[in-house]
Amino acid sequence: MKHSKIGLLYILPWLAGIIFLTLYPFVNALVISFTDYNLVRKPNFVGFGNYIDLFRNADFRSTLTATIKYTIFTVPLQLSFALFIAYILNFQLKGINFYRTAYYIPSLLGGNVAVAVLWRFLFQQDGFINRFIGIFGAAPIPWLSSPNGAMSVIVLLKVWQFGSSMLIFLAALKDVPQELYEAASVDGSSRLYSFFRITIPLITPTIFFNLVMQMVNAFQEFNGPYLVTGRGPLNATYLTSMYIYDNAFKFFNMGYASAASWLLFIIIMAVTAILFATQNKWVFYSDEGN
Amino acid sequence: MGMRKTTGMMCAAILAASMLATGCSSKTAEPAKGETAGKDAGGEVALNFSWWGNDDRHQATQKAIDAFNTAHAGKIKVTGEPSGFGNLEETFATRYAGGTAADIMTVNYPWVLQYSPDGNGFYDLDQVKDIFDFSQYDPEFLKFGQRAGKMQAIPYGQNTLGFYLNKSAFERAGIKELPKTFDEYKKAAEAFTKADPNSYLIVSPTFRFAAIYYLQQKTGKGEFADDLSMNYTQEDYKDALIWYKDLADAHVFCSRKDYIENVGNEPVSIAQNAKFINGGYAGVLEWTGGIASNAKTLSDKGDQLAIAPLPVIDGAKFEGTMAKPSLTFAISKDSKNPKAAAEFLQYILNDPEGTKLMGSTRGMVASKAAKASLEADGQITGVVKDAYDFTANAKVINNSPIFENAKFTDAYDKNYEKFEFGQSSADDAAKAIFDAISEENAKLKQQYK
Repeated sequence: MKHSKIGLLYILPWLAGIIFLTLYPFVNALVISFTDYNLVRKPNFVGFGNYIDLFRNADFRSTLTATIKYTIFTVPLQLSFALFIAYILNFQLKGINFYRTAYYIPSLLGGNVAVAVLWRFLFQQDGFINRFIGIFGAAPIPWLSSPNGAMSVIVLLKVWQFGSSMLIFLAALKDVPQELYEAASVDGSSRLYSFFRITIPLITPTIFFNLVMQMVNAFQEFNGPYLVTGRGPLNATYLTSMYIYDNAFKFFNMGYASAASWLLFIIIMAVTAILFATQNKWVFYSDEGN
Repeated sequence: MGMRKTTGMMCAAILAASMLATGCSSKTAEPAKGETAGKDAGGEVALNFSWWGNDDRHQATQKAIDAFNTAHAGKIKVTGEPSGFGNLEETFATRYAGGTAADIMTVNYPWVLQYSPDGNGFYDLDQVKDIFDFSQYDPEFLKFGQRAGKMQAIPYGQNTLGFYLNKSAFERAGIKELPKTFDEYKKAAEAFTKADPNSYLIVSPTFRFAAIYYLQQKTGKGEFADDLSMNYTQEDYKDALIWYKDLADAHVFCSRKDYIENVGNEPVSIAQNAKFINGGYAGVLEWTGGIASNAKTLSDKGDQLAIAPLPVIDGAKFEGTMAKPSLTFAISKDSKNPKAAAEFLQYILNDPEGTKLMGSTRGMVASKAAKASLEADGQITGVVKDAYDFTANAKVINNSPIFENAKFTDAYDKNYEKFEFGQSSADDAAKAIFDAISEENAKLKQQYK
């Protein structure tokens, strides 16, 4: 009993955080989503009005398309890149700890303002990237002022922050028994064959975990696109999270923004549920059948 | 397996839910009282003062605060809360609604109506007229800060939209005399683009500034009437779109594409923009409030800013520009020390020493005492003096308090962008602007009726 009380005390900060900073706003946002609350006036109940408006709003639908496009590009690219680097860093190389730290730094920097400014400079019309490709005779690419260019820039920024997925992959790779590789090698298996036949199947739970986490993060992405490209040309990088922010804090339609938040939440839940439904077909747990 | 699935789903749900935690909490009741600073144990009154601006404004204001604090040591201590030009209204609205607004606030002119439609949104400044000297202001001008007969905010000065050009860049391009007409601007743009095909003569934070400049001259009316009704038709918006696009194609006005590439998507001050500093943009279409910042960034590089004569469109019914009261100052209705706050306002807005320290970083002052102090200190010289003269002489239409609603500007920029990128015709873009403005206008009229 005493232990359980101490345990409770230990998790109290987390518990308080989740109740007051997550669950309370979560439920409150649902309530607000049925009102026309605008921060200043007292809210009026509007029923499903905000939700109906959202479905009719072409801008909202366009932000959903941009968000889905962003998620489809970033998640597989980021996971593939993270796995590739983790695979290399799993070898016993000289100075490996330095490389592991170096590759994790972009994740620490993330989408902060300094990085955003740097990123804009890199991809501007006369920025480093265009100057670099100009050396090879290529024409400058309008990275920031063309819809596809702007999307590429924010996708690259996200993929660049692969550190956390990489660390989780690295831990999973270390757990793959070496005997399996040795046995495969004796049977004449190449490294590539072993990678796809041994490594990948054994780390599928980690791939699944990273996939769910990165998918949820990508759907909620805000900082990078907001700071680097904003809406982008023709709203190409206007993600749903930014649409929610604009409606809440620029136009002060808190009810409308809350409804959009809830719709996004439902979409994320639905995609997560679909991923969980597919895991029986491709994720192999070591305790399977126990 | 089942347990693992349930736990996993819960984790995903909590993660997804966590995004809802941002920005969606509500506080529908009156702003919380007692959150402003009060007296500390030593009896010293603690006040905070919020403002926005560029570095020059921050430095000047901090100097004024320091001098005020020194002069009132042990009695009043003011702490500054500076911020940049970004997300102004988001920040203000959140603090206002959360009851955490500063004791002394910088308030944009439209917010006076928005946050105090009934005259109760801010502290009633008539209560401190024995401390703050309102006689330094034109009584008509003070009306901009009144709601329902109550003095809610003190307007700082008049902001006038004008063309401010990098005179040195024009001279380098071989143009000795600044353009006076749009045809002369087109000719000048040819000279500039010969040297740098990516250069533009005028950059503006939003297409809307140029569009309203044109539509005011075309119709002789401001965008909204006194009863908040719309003055422009769909056809007017179409003309404005075509007019601007023609000038953007001629590199007179910055194209939307170039703006996105070099500035961003949002309407922001151009003073710190690299392309403006380097002469890639040879001028700005902005409020006089920012002229000192623009002039300073150019002078730091050895270039000189000059105010150009207002160009007039063919067949103009009005040969001027638009104006608005620049920012205003209010005291929080929740402030525990409104008298001390009024004392501070008196210092920075009317006192010879305070106004001298505040300088011209907020544009033209309206207070007679402040203007006299700045003149005596030799601060109203050069481009700043030109700005005073320009403000005094320009024919203006004052814009409506609902003018700066973000949805209006958004509708202009978004639909001009579609038009310029070839995603919509001028007719469709004009209809989209007209519809968006009509919809928001109807809501605002209902709200403020």
